[in-house]
Amino acid sequence: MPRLRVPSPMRPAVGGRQEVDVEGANVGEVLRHLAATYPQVRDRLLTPEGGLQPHLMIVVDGVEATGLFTPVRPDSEILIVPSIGGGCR
Amino acid sequence: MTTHAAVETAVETPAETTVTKTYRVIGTRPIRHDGMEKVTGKALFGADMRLPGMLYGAVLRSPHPHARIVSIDTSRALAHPEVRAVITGADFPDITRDEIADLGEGAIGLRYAAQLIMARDKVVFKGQPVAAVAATSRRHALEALALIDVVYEPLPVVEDAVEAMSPDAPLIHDDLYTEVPGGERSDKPSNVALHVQHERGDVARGFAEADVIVEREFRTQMVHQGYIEPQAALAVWEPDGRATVWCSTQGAFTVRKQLADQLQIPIGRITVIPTEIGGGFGGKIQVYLEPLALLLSRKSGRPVKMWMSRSEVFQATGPGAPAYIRLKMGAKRTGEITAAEHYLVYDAGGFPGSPVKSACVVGLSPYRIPNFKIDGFDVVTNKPRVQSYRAPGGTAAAFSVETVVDELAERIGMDPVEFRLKNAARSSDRMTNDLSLERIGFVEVLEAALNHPHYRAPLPEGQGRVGRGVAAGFWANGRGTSSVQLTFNPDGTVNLVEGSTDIGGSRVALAMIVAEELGLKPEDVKPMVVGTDSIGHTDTTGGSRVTYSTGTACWLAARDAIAQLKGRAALLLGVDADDVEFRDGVFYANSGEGRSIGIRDVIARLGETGGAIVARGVSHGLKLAPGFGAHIVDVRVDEETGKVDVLRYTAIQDAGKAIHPTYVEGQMQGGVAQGIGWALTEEYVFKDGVLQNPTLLDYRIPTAMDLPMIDTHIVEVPAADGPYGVRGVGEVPIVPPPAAVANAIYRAVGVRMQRLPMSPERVWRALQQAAAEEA
Repeated sequence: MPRLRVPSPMRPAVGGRQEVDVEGANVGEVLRHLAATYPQVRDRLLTPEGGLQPHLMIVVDGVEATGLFTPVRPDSEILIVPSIGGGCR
Repeated sequence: MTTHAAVETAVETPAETTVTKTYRVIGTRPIRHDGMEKVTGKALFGADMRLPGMLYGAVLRSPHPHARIVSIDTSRALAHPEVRAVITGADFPDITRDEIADLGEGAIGLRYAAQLIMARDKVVFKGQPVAAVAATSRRHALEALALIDVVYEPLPVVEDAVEAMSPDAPLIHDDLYTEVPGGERSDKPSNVALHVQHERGDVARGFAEADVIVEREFRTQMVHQGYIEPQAALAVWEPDGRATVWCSTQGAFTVRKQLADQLQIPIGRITVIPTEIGGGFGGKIQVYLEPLALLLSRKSGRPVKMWMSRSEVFQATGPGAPAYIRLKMGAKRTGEITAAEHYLVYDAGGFPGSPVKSACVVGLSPYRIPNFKIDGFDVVTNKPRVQSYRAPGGTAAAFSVETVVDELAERIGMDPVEFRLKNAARSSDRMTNDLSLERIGFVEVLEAALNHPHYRAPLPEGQGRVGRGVAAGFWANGRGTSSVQLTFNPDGTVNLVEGSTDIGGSRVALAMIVAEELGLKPEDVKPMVVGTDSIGHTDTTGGSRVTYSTGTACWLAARDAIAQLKGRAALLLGVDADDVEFRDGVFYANSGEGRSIGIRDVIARLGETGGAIVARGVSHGLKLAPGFGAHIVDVRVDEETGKVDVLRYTAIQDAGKAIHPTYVEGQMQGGVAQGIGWALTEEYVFKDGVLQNPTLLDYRIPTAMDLPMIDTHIVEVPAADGPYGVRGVGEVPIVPPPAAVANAIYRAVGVRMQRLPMSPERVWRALQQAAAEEA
């Protein structure tokens, strides 16, 4: 099952965990499953339309995901990283 | 002295290249393709562009750093006989979307970008555009500005970011709420736009384990990138709704996107053509004049050209952010750093979007620190809205970290380079934001510093007190997407079509990659930077991404070309394509008694083997290729005046693989020169929100007279991805200089400088204070 590393500000919303194993064959599925298990993270990760929040970058096995359809392997490591450029609404 | 050392490490991807392999082209120093045009003055920059019948635009700017706009009356300007159009905020579409525009390096909220381009109902910094005019001459346009009547209601000014964080501070934006860690927003409006946080381990325990703890606070100043060419744009709005803009920009595609967003026009109707660029350093990504010129063109029905004066550049474009930083760090007597607390307040100027996020990564990531807490704040003030400036956020963050690291080393009695070596991040360590550093060469860089003749040399002698300082620096380096296309000429030469603005000699480096792969000479490959209609999406030239990412696209395009040319060679050799092998510019038939044909001949005969071919390469999804540097500097301090002279400077840096070493050295030297400006002389001086020194006479950029020859030493530890192991090199060298100079000043006269610039007055006052305390 892909392993997701949770950024420190988001850890309270996932029971304080630093890493969470989440099912999914691509980034979108993993994030949606995470949001289903931990509803508090949904709005932080996804827009109301289901897209990725623009201030976040998803990194799969060291490479920035190009979108929610980016495939993940069962042994993939997924990082949620606040994007360096964003956060200035 | 320039030296160059390769570390013998095999590169895994692309599989067949290693850094120790001998290349025909890579690592040589050919003359750049655009050299002749540049030195003869024939190259066309932004302000050189002209169209028949064009008008000249000028901008009316706010004289107040903070004011409500009560009314704007443009009737007298419109009555001027030579004026053809006037625009104000009322001519722009309403931008209500709460979206972030990613500029490729830096970002800004769309509705704030709209106000940065043209004020609506209030102004938040002196120099913010309030209206713009197009007239038949620049003189008439400037005359007409004086005929626009604006009534302002001045508001209280907040100039300092720390003061702006106070609940009692004047509120700059009624609709700005703090985005707190985790993505939620504060209940009340605030001047704090963002609070970013990173944590690892147990900080309290880490400090309890420390034998020595140092806690210091730092302030860095607002500085300008100092590009020589002011912003310039020429725009034409065609009657059928198509728009074309020529401008001096680091990214044609981001200009196109910003124009589409701000003017609400379909992006496919906009063409942006980048001109030659006279420097940018992060300051030419945000649009300023382009939307104004385009709107004036639409209103007047004529092309409109605009450019900024130097004082407009200083007051109304985006300088580098000032910062207030507190850092507490602990270490054991054996040399291990045990904990750190980093508190960073970055001043965004009039609208949110300082580089505090990258500062929170650049500062502590170079070291293995098991326990840390980082709190970063993006704060608005009544100053020009900042933009990226070479390693955005990094220089100030490193000033704090590298000064405290130096003091810790001294307190435990350890050599400062050895202390850094002991704590240096290694390959695959994680940055403060959890991203892997992949393969890095920080240890190799520090070892090179330790063994460098400069580090071992006796201090220079002469008048005044002398000292030697060291500091390290890091930048994660950009990746992004680049597109490249190759076409072929009947004389066997190749056209390299790409979309990366050439700021630091990237044309020649990219041509060298294509030449290396195709077995050609660099001069056989003709690089050209084209507009948005002529190449696939290419991200901004910024973040030290071009040689890495666009270089990868070139490498892929060359491979595509070889695959296609192999089929043509097979026809000419009379064998199957599978029987053809390509080596060093020659196609060999494996069967067929050693027959072969050179690539130039295959290219020249494309017409008889099936017609033209086009080869393409697109890079995306590359791994990080971070860069590290270490600097050694000797300074002399005049104790009577506080003046600091830089006597000797050596910059050591991991380039992965130096494609064209001259331009790697140039980047290193340029970064150091700018960093010394930060360290000693450059500073925006404000009084009540009004910039007091908006000219190059009063804003003191170092000249050749102020700098010694900057020695360079290139280390080559190949990156984990991309061709030849290349890494970006542009950002890293501006990161260490202020800390290196501060550490050298300390070694010379025993005072720790914690505020930039370390001007004669500040150094003198620090010396007086130290003497008074000692007495």
